[in-house]
Amino acid sequence: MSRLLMSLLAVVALLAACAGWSPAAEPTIDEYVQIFNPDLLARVGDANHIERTSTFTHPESSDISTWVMENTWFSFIIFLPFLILPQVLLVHVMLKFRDRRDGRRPATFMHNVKLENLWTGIPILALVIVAFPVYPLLYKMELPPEDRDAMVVTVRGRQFAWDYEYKKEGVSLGLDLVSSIQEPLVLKKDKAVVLDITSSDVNHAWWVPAFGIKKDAIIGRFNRAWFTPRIAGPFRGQCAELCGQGHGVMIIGAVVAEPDVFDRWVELQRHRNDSQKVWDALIAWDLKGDDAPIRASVSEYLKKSDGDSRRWALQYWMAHNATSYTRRSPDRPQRGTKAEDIETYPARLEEWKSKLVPAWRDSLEALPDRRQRIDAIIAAMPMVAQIEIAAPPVAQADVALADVVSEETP
Amino acid sequence: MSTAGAHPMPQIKRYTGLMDYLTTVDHKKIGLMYFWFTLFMGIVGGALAGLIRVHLATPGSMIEAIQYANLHGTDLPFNLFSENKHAYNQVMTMHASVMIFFVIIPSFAAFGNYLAPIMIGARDMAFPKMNAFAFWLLIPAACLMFASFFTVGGAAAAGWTSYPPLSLQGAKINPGQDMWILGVHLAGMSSILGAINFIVTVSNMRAPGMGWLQMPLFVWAVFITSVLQLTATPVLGSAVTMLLMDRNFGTTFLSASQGGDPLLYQHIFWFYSHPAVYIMILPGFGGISHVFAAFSRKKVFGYLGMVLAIGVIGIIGYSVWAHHMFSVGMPTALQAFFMYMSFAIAIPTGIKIFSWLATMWGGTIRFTVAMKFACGFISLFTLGGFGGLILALVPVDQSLHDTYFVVGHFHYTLVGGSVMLLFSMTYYWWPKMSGRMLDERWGTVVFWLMFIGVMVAFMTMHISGMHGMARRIAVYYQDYKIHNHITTFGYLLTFVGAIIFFLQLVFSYRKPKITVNDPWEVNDVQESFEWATSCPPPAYNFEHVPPIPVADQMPRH
Repeated sequence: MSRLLMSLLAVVALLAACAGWSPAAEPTIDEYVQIFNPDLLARVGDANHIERTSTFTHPESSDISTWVMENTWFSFIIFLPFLILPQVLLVHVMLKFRDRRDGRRPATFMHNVKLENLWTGIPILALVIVAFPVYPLLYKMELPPEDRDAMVVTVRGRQFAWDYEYKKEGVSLGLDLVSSIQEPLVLKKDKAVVLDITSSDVNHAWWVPAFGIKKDAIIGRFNRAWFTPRIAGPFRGQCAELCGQGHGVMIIGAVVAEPDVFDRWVELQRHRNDSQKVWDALIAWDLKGDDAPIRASVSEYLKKSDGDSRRWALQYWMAHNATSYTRRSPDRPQRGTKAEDIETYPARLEEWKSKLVPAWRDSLEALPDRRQRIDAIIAAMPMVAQIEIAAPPVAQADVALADVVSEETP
Repeated sequence: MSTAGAHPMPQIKRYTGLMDYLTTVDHKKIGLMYFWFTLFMGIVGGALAGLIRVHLATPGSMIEAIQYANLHGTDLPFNLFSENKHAYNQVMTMHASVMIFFVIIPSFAAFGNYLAPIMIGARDMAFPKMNAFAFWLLIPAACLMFASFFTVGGAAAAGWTSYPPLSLQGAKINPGQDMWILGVHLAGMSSILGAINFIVTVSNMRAPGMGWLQMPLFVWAVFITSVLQLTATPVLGSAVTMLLMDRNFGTTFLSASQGGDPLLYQHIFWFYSHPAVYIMILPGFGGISHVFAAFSRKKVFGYLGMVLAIGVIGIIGYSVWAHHMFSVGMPTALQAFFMYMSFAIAIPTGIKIFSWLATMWGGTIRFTVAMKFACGFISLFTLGGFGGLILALVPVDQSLHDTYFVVGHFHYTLVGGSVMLLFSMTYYWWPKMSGRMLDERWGTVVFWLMFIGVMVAFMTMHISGMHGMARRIAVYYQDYKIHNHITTFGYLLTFVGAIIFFLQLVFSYRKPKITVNDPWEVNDVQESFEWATSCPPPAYNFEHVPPIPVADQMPRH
């Protein structure tokens, strides 16, 4: 019933979305930032709170999730009588056979072979019924996807973050360079993705609940998992194997993007490292002072290559970083375990509270101004040279999955 | 009435009071010491759980709170572990370790020690001194574990499973993990010695005429549990020894960079710890059969089926260990095997549930507190077992593994299962063990607090797990706030129940001793040895060959 209601709601939402949708409208920079840099920690009720947090509530998020939930509800229905029957019998027995002190003699039977065979046989039958469909599903999940052209991402856990390496796209992700919060894994909608999961220290487990898979990250071995995301939007997850002090904050994010948006994102990544220097100059820039250093860094950025897309990328990264910048204050000092650390802790805490945090909060107010000024500077810069940076070589990455698939498929 | 003439006893010095208990080798006194030790440890473990619950129910435990602290530069009030999330992991690890190694496993040893020799008509255990030694090993084991809180780096913080490489971190700097390992070694040694003692006692010291199939079900359960303990616990010893050697002596059993394999530990550990799950429930399965039979005024239904079911659970229990590890990346065929074996173990469990219901069927049921707990056990354990069946499905286990669903599931089986069994057995046998009745009205209060508490706390855990809350986390997404508040409320109910239970037992000693042998009128229908002697039984239980005919559990055709 609720499924039906939800799908109805989805249809209504889809119609509403179509009404306001026009194919020509390219998302603005801020909309791209919304898509690629979601707030993984947004609270319930916030506009950008991530709703799809479980395979049980959103089985449509990935193909695996859908199959798993179909199978689970099927098994659940088969098992359900064995949950209800004892409870019903228990209540029945308790009501019917309670001692009413009316002189009724208790029964004396001690065994009933027919009955015993029955309650051994019927559960076996139920288990066999469940056992059949789950077997092919298990193999479907464990073998590589049929889509030989799948994306391949190496996922490497460490205390307490995840590093992603896109083999074909040549992109690496990890902690956000500005906020040091985990960056989301960006995926292409309707494109199978193969995750090779490993760890560089203790055991972790990669788990985005809505996608319906969870694999341990263990040092010295690669665990393979795959799925095809079916809905665009942000998802979130969490390390699922105790990995030490920061286990709870070892969060995981994932963003599923429409194919053309995803291509845009891959393109953006090529300019990221260069843009970081501009950001550093921008955040260090005293707005009242001379803008020579920031001009110098922008022209440095453009010297390597110039063009509309590269300028656009710089604007994007400034917006992206500004969003990240608002998400995290300077790190709270840790008490530590050494004697001198503990001694200085109150002073460090006080400094953090009274100096670092207020300074950071003041600088937040100036962020929009900074962005406007740099946009103006970028626009005013004369074109240097129209050289596009070439995409990174993809040859060696391309063969990786095809080889593995041919080795593993029986 | 002394038999000294026929068998001259060596003159030994007899102590009284405290010294009597410190030096005793009497199985009943040792059983009582086990009982009070586990009860005390249960309160301590429950208090540790309280720290966890209070922490998780306060605003400081949400990721939101980190943001809050970062954005506003102030702490949230009332946050236990805001400075040190390491402390949370320590408390969580110790809660599990204490509850498993010092509460549930030895508490069944308490009942086994006290009752098994009486039930088979023996005068004591086969090795009385070893029996005492097994108990006294638990004290240093517990001391080691608790002392580790005060070492550099604190207690073990890698979970009670202590998976490497996490448990290898801090080697030679933080001794907490090493002390945990040694504590487990001592507790394991105690377990093994106790198991040998039970096996020898039950095999050799049954009263004349009592064949294997005339043994009461509780003795059967203790016997099979002991076999499991004897065969499985050394395996745990080997796993933690590897850990100890890797940490301290430079071996590389578990270190991937030098040719070892961290997964090896998980396999060996669960090869012990899955049978350990049955070590924690099977004696209770046996004991509860007595409660059902006694208060339905019937004999146990399907005795042979019950015995076989316990045996089959024991055997299959050895081939399901890897269902704790479905996400580690095992060969697919192996996953399928362990999934089907986990299904299979539901069948003997189902046989037991239905046989208990059939035992009640047609009886005249008296709802004493023991019986209430027994009925509550059936209800809760069925729910816990049902969650287990869902978890056995590998595809969905990929989503549920290491979430609060799992936490809810095993708390249903351990608190709703083992602890309900223990409470039921206590209310049933306490008159025999202490000579005092427990108050029925307070007992009913305890029952409802426990039953509702378990339902509230652990059902909510299932739900938060399905919504994607990982286990063993000190901070969580704000979405799970409401679940954690409800769970903490449920915890409070159970903890109040446990405290009342504890006080009831303490204050029962102020009551007058009962004078009848059989306060529940059990032997109107059954013939059991323990209700045929005085409450509590005299030293050495029986002066002669037990005075009643051996219970004919298994009707001969």
